[in-house]
Amino acid sequence: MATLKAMRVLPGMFSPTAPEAMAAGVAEAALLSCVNRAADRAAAGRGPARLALVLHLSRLPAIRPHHRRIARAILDDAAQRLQGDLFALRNRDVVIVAPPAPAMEALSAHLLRLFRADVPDPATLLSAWPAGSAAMAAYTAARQHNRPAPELIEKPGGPDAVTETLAVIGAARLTDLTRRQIGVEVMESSDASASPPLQLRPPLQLRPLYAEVMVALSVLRGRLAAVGQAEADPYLFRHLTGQLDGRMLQAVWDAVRQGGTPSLRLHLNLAIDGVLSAEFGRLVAAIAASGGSFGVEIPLLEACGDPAGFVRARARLRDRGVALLLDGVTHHTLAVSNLATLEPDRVKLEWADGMPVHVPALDGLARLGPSRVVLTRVETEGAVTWGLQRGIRVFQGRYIDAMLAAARLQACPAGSGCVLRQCQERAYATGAAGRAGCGNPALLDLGAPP
Amino acid sequence: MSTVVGVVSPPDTVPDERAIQGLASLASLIRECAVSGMNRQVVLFRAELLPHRRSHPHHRRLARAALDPLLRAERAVWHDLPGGAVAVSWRGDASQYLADATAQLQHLLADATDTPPVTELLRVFTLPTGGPALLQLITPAPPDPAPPAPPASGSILEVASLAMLERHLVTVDVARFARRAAICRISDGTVTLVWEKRFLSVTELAATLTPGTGMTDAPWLYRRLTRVMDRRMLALLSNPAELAEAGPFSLDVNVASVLSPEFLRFDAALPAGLRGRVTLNVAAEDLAADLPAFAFARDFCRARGYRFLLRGVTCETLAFWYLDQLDVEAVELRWSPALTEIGVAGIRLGRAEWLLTHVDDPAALAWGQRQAVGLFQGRAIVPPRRRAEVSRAPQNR
Repeated sequence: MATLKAMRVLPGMFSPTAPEAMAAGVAEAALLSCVNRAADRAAAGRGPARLALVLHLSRLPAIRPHHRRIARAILDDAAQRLQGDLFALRNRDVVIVAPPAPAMEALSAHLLRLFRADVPDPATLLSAWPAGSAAMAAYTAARQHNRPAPELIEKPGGPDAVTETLAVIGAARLTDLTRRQIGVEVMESSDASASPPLQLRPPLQLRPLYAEVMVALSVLRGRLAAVGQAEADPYLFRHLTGQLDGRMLQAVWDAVRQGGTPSLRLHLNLAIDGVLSAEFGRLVAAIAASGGSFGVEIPLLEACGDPAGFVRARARLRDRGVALLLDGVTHHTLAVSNLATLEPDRVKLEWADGMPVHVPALDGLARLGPSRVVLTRVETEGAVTWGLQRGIRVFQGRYIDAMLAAARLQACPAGSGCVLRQCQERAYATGAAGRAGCGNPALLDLGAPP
Repeated sequence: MSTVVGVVSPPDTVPDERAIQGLASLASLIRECAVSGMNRQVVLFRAELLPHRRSHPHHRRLARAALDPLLRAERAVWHDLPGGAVAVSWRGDASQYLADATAQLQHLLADATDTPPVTELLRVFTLPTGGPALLQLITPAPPDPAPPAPPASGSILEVASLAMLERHLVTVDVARFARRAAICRISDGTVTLVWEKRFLSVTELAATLTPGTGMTDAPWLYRRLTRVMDRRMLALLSNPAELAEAGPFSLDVNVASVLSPEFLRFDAALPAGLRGRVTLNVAAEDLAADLPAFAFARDFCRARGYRFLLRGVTCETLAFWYLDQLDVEAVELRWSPALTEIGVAGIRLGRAEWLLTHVDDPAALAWGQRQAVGLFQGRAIVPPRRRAEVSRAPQNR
């Protein structure tokens, strides 16, 4: 634990310069007073030193209501037990100031354990300083003018959120709500000069494998606040997406009938009931007749929620020659489950910053076999590099989209007036409106120059 | 000939210890009659059939008192049963006492127009022939992880009906839908009651609040409903009187419910004697929905003395989970004859132990014991008597 010289926070010592700075909140002011008293006592050599334990919830990359609620409950109990003081700050940090005791060490250990699944290094969420120290004074001073953090949604939405969302979807053209994203195989390039400008090193080439068409939550969110509410409850959300399957199957069937054979293998996200529906059988037949190919992505939660139904759906996909991808797999899942027992053709693994250091997940990846994995939500070169080092060859995500757009711009004869972002956004669109302005939609369909 | 009278009443009227003893003594009597051919009779007063407004504690006390005349019969034995049930047995002719009890009950319900007829509230059984039917009624229905099948002519649970159910659940007294099931350990031939599983009967709740609505075809809405029910159950158990005399128990809960304000209130109200004796049963699909939240909930609750049980594991999903990596105390496995072709003895469980459920026939029990399963639940398991057969005078109730 750091031992720093006692220091009092003086008025204006760390005053903010930004004109929009806030006045101190009640908890911040109380913490300031507490820290100053501790500094005075330390300077005068009076009384036992008190310890400040700071839980930096503001540093959590994706804070959720239960993080704050449970942490507060734990720290409240500790404050009562240890006769300490508790401060819940506006930036969501929580501070307990109490006499140093073994119980404080135990409290730290408990909090570290609690957050180990949420951050790669939970130690970054905790600071322990003598309450009267310069470090605590600096921390306290910096908190005096924090703006309040945005409110967290305490309760996920109810059934009404689903009803509202379905009404909005029902009233809209499906192509206005859907997006398309391409999955690629990354291969070594024999011709460095042919690589796109955003190339990986050593020179690698991207070969588009499939185009996933999905209802884009980002688009829905822009139209309806209720979506966020429905999304917060995984069960309501599964029901919501299951309701969309019929419409999606109908829309794609219409497009294929009108001669819209996909240039790449088409991937759809479907629930088990969608796969077992008559509309699905009709679409598979139409795609096969047009010479296209098809893959279905089923969320892991669907498979776990209805194991028997999943087995039936898998058999139907096999029977029709349709690829099965298991979607929604995280590194946490890899660590505790044997995904191979579900016999998917591929597993879509979501990239997360904590994955490279999560040993049980890495073991799970090795057991599953990287050749069966699609690394998704790839937004940085680092994620691709890590995947390649682990033997993964298929990737999907915004970083891949940018690389593909760069390759198209380099090769497209009609692309002189286009910028990368434009080309990327047009490639996401599934309807003509979203592609307006593109002089080479055939290349958008292909994803990358042949 | 002897007769048994049973009173099934809601759980808040009966201390758990008595209920366990009563069920054991009645089950033992049924078994003995079946083996020896000895004659007994049973009259079952089904208090759960009483309408809500007539099922408050004082109503139940009066109903139980109405059965007092039967205790004058030869070898009359009173049995409290799980779920608040009570049974009284006797030998020989007690038709007059039975008539007195019936008359008292009729008098008690004279001004009620919404109660079932007394002949339905009081069911008479003759042992040994009526034993199976009686056992069926007094044994709490095994908790069924699968949603109940909809009636053939019923409607499917939809978003609108879910919304209505949720609104009703806020105000309805869920205590009348609370049920229990005994979880026993069998070791060296000895059966020990380890804890009781407490749950709300979804089937009955749905039948009451949205009659004719099935849930099978909307499994995600059903699961959503379980979250709402969790919170009502937690609120019910936060009542200090509810757990005042409770023994160890387990609860089916969603992970999100464990992290809810309702759970914190339940935790704050938990009697000190129960700390460390409560098991939280979480479903496998709930883990899949949010593993980080599960890990967070587990580590938070374990520090407060709770145990975790993974439920909903079936023959089909057995190989999917690395059970030793889930760091739970027990894994519930639903019995299926298909298990006989697999076996579980070699599966790594870490700190956990198996709980075999739906053990309703001797074959299931025998398989479990061969596989070194320690914990069992089902109709084939009879909780032990903790004391000698319970025979109490009415004033001791």
